[in-house]
Amino acid sequence: MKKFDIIVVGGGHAGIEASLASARMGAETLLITIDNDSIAWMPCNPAIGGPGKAQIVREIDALGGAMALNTDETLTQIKLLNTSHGPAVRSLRAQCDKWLYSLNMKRKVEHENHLHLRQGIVSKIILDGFKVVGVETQDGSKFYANAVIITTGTYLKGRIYISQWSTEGGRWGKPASSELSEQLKEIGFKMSRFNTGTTPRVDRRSIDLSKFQCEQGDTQPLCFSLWNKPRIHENQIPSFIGWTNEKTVEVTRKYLNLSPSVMGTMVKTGPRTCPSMEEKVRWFPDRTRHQFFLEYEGFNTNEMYMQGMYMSMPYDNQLEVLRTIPGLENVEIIRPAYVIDYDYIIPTQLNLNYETKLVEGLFIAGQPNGTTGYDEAGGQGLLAGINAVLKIRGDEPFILKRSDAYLGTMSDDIITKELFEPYRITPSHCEYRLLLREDNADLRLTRKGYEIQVVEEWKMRKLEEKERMIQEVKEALEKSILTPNKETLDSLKMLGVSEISKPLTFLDMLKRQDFTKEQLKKLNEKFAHYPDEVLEEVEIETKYAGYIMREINSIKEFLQYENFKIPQDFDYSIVPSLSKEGRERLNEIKPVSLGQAMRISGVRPSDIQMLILYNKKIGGKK
Amino acid sequence: MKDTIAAISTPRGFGGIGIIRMSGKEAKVIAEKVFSRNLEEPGRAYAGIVFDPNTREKIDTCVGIYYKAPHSYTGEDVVELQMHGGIKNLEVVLGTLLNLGSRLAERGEFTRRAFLNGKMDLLEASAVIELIEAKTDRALKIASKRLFGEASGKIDSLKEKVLNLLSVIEGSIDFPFDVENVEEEEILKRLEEIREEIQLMLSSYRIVRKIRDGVNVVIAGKPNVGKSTLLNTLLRFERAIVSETPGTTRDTVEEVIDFYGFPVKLIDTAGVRESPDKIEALGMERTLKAIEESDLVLFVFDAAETLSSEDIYLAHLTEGRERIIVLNKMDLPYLVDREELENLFKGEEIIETSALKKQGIEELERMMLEHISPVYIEDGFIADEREKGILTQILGHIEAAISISGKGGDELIAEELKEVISKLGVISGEGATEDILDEIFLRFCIGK
Repeated sequence: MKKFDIIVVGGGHAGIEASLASARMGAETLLITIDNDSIAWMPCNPAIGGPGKAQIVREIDALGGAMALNTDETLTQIKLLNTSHGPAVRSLRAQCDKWLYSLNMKRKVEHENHLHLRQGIVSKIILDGFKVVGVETQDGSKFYANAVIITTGTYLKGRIYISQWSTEGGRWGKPASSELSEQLKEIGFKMSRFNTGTTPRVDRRSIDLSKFQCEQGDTQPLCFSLWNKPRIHENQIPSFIGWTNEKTVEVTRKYLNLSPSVMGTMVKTGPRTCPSMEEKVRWFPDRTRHQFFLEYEGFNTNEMYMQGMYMSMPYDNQLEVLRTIPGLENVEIIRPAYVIDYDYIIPTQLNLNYETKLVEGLFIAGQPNGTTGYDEAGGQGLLAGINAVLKIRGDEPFILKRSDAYLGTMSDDIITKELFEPYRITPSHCEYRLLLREDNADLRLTRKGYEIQVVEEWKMRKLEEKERMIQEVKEALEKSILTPNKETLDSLKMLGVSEISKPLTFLDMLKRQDFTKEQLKKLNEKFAHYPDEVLEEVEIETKYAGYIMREINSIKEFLQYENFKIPQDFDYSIVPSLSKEGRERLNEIKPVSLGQAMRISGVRPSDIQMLILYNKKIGGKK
Repeated sequence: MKDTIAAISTPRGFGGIGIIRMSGKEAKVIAEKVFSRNLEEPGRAYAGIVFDPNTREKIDTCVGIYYKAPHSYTGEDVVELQMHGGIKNLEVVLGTLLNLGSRLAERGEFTRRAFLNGKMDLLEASAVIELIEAKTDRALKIASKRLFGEASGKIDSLKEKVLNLLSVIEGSIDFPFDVENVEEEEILKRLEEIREEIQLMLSSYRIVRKIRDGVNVVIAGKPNVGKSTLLNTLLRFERAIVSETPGTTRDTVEEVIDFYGFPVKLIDTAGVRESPDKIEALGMERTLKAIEESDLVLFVFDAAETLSSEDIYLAHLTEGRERIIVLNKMDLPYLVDREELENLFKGEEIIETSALKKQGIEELERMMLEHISPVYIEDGFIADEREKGILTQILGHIEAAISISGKGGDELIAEELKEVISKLGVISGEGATEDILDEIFLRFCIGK
């Protein structure tokens, strides 16, 4: 019987990043997956990125993860979103070939040193008191390790529904993992249930695509991974935008009572940001025009995904609804839409390193924590993988703060606050987003990752090179002066830049709204030698300097509270005058700092005042 | 941790009733040690006796009321002991309570605890002191409205508007596929509406200040133009209210009237003596000072005389200040050179009165009101410098957002709006630090 350092249960996006991170750090890692043919499978929309998510993918990438690289290698379309809102919330989004994505990732997993693969269904974890020592699969095999990471997606007691019909399953055609869920409950974990859904997949040949608005991918050089060079992607495949109409809504309304959440057979709490067609009709009764997208699922398939058309009514009714839409009069559904509900472990039972408070050595990441999205799962998997290894090494945990990364924001959100629906990251979750951009993820995180050996040497060297060039450009900008002579004024005019009346440094120029890195390159060729990402970095920092300074100051204030540590064994019942709810929540979550305590729902400002006073009295660390 | 505090809550002196208030965990236990009855049932008035717990010596009759947390003024357990309104009896009982383990409350500490326990926000808490200090009906009305949350409601509704706009912007950032982009003009329009609302609140602040703190109206002019008559006429029209300065001094007369809800201090600069060519230095200085400190000058001329050099001198002196030109003694033969007068005051309206015959006084009052309160306001949304300061900063953020809008940086507009929201929270006391609270509650007296 072989003993591993780390066992990862589940080969989805969380499991992949967890096991790869752990193996990169040199830990002997076992990845157990229900189906080795569907590693890193995208059972819903085969898309990576989007606002907030892209920042997370870049952060995973900056810490040596695989998601961004795999996306670059398998994408069918790539776009830069939110360009009109400003550089901080700009976000990449890519459609991928869902089979290639999985296959390519499988190859990465198979080629990673220290990473071992097993196919099997984990039925329980093996405990020694309240410490995990291994797992057992349904066929009775036992595997031992010092830490176990659970990344089982929607498989924990997953149940699939199409109207009245329902069956157990982690997704269509795959068995659920019910025993494990039961065991976790028995151990004493508080669990709850969420639902989520997926859309019909329709046959391209049955659709008149000319009736839809064609959306091409971007033609500018782009790439998801910071370690790749941006390039123009040839051979992208388009997606198509369509709209529902009065008839669609009318037909949907007719079948509302066939949806399992209306019938009451299924838990009602799903992601509000992905409402089903039935929910759209119920929530916005006056609207008939709802947008949806038709997107190819890969290069070599006629199956198309219908983003926005989540449904749970019977197959025939799904057809009837879709056929009200011009262009879809003869549509054929290959795979019907369905919903699934599943158990999740209420994530306030985790420490900030993703280890459960209840069972030592047990880590949980991804959908079992009540989140939704491949990107969110990948991020948690990475952090859980890193922290499991650090735990075994006896090192300090790797905790990213809200001011460090979207990853830190997400972790703090799910572990500190109460979840009312599946958690999806967006830019509005992030208070420090002017600093936490997708373009600077490497500058923010790669060194930290290198220090704990989760980032490879060559990436660190590349980071250093980038940092050096940024410094060089900054210095050159300060030194190079633009004098308002005839030649300069002529070129400014030609470049569409407003006039200057006195000599200015290029740094001053770059502060202007109408002067960008493009004009800079044209005006002074020494800057043209630098890669775009270096110039862009400097440009954003220069243009946003005032706001960035404001954000840095608010981070300083934030850190005062974060650094006001509260001991883990602190007993809140001895602090007088705390509100009843506040006391309960504090005792339950055991915040590590006053800052975290402040963010717990149910803890009042007056409770915080009491904690400050009390800690001063007992000589708490400040 | 939170100790029990006690204080005499009625004014020091002799009166019908005197109340000691106690708040905190131990309030009931301590009270029962000096009071002859058990305060079992919250909210019930128990008639009994207060006594010295050591000697069992009776001190006074007393009505004791126990308010159980959180249903009390402070949100904690509160006991009120109502005795006779003396000085010594209250002091002795208070001393006993302090010996039994309570401590003397600091200024405003009861209200401060009410704030900390969420019984009121900072706007409401500061209304308590305004209510106590209200000098006119209108000042009272404004304080009451604040006390009952109208200002807080206004701040909340402003916050809601900002949040709403922010959520629209954030929505289009978060969900570019599902949420349609907001038009730049729409964002600008809504920002401008918010700006207007804040500007209105800030301008109403000047008026609220006047309602609360009063307005100085100086009646100026050379002797014998009818200033005193005018003062008396204005006094007769209004109910004179408490005047903090003795009515007359040798040189000036000051009276405070309730002028449409504004405590208006009328200052007659009588006694400024002039010689035909030279204005006396001392009188000049006094007049200058009064004018300097005035909110409004009533500049009085004699219609039955030609303009003198003093008139012209005073006219220049008061130029640029809020002033009303009063041409008095219209009942006498008209001698003043109208053209000369109008030249002197280029375009300013001239009110013609006869203070003696009470003619033109209504018109004068209307003008005074217009000067004192250019817009009619009923609500004091903001009432102190702290709130004004924060609101001014908020206005700055909105201005910044307006200047960004249309330049493709929604994310920066969002940053400004987030600042606005957090600062609106500061106004109502979210995250208020000790220092800020100290500053606010030190305006209170002990026992409040």
